[in-house]
Amino acid sequence: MFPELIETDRLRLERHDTAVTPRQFYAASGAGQTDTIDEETAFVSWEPNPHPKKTHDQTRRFADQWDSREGASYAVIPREGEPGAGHYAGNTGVAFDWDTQTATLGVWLREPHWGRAYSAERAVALARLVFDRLDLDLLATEVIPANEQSIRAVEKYVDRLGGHHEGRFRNRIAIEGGDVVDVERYSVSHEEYETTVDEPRATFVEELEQPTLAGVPPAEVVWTPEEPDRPSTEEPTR
Amino acid sequence: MTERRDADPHDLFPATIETERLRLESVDGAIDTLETYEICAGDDGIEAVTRWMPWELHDHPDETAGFLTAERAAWADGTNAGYVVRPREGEVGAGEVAGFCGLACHWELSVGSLGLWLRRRFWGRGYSGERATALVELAFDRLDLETVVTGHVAGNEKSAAAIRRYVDRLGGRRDGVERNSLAFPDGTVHDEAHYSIRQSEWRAATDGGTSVL
Repeated sequence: MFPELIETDRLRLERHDTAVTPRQFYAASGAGQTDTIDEETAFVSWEPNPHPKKTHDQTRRFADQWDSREGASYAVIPREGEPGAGHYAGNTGVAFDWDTQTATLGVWLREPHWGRAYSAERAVALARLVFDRLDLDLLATEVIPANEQSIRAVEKYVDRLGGHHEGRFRNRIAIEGGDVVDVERYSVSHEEYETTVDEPRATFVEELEQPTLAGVPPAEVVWTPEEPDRPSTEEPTR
Repeated sequence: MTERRDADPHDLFPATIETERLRLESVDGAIDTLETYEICAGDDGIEAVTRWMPWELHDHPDETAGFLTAERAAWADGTNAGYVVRPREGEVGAGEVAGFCGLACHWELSVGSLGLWLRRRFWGRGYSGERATALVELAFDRLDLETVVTGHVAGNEKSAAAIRRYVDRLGGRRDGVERNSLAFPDGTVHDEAHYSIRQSEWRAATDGGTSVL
């Protein structure tokens, strides 16, 4: 049902439970494992993973969701030519509600990879998966109101895909650890996508022959991008 | 809202709530399954009700029994304060089942979600707003929830008008329309307009709170 590899101009999205070992996942997402994990998880619904058992269980959950067609989770890996090429830059997932014909996107990017519009690039690729391949009706995403950076990124790509902001829905998510937060919700319909996007650049590969993950930068190494940060390199596709 | 004198102070939800014109009786009490079946299977105008609801006409009384069992289980779990709506003395159809309403409690989100359906012959009397005032007070004053939400299927203009009126009166707002929010048993998918009221907004709008309780 889902391709194990999706290639965009600058990214490889690889089936997470195959491409990333629970230990690699823990090295990137564990509490205290990197200097940036707290900042990276300030606006997501989960907390830094407290121990390797958690990433082990999460990896198993990714596999179960993949098999039951409830969700498709991918590792985000920059391609050749990108800073940190071949390294684990975070993950992205699509949750499927087949009854309401809705796919909901989620993403977590590691701090060294911020500012390169990777979120938009994977969103457009996943829109192609959701609409062209899976023939669903709606693609949705939800952002915590305080996450201004993500709101800017999401508004830009949702607008580019022809969708809109649905509203701010209150007390919608219980964050791990107890807080309850509102969400800003955005969506794009199949029809909107069809009329605004032609041929998003994304290639689907059915089977991941060999995971390409080079590794996770160790926590103590300060890892700087080789190129200066620059704004989005994406060309509008409409 | 007035509780019956025999109300048990240990109960999470009041067994009976009386408003000016309505009596809300817990689904945990005595409800006639066959009487409810008659309504859910073929009440005059019932299709105008179910058109906007995620349920279909009941095919047999066992379906009705299942509905009531689920309502009672949710009451016992403390996840839904479900009530039968009955007009009080002096109202046309006093004592009859006018419909069902509830406050679904999502404790982990601190959210109470209002729900209601009324038989068509009881439409247009302002019962929706009257029951909402009582259940919103229950949500905030007694259950200390942070937010009350409600909604309707996009296109259901009658509910939209009723909800807008009481949400505005109680200090809340319209949050937006969530697309593809609801899947009905017939396979159709519907958008849903969402509204919400925060406890602080309710207190400000009602000058400290309502006092039906």
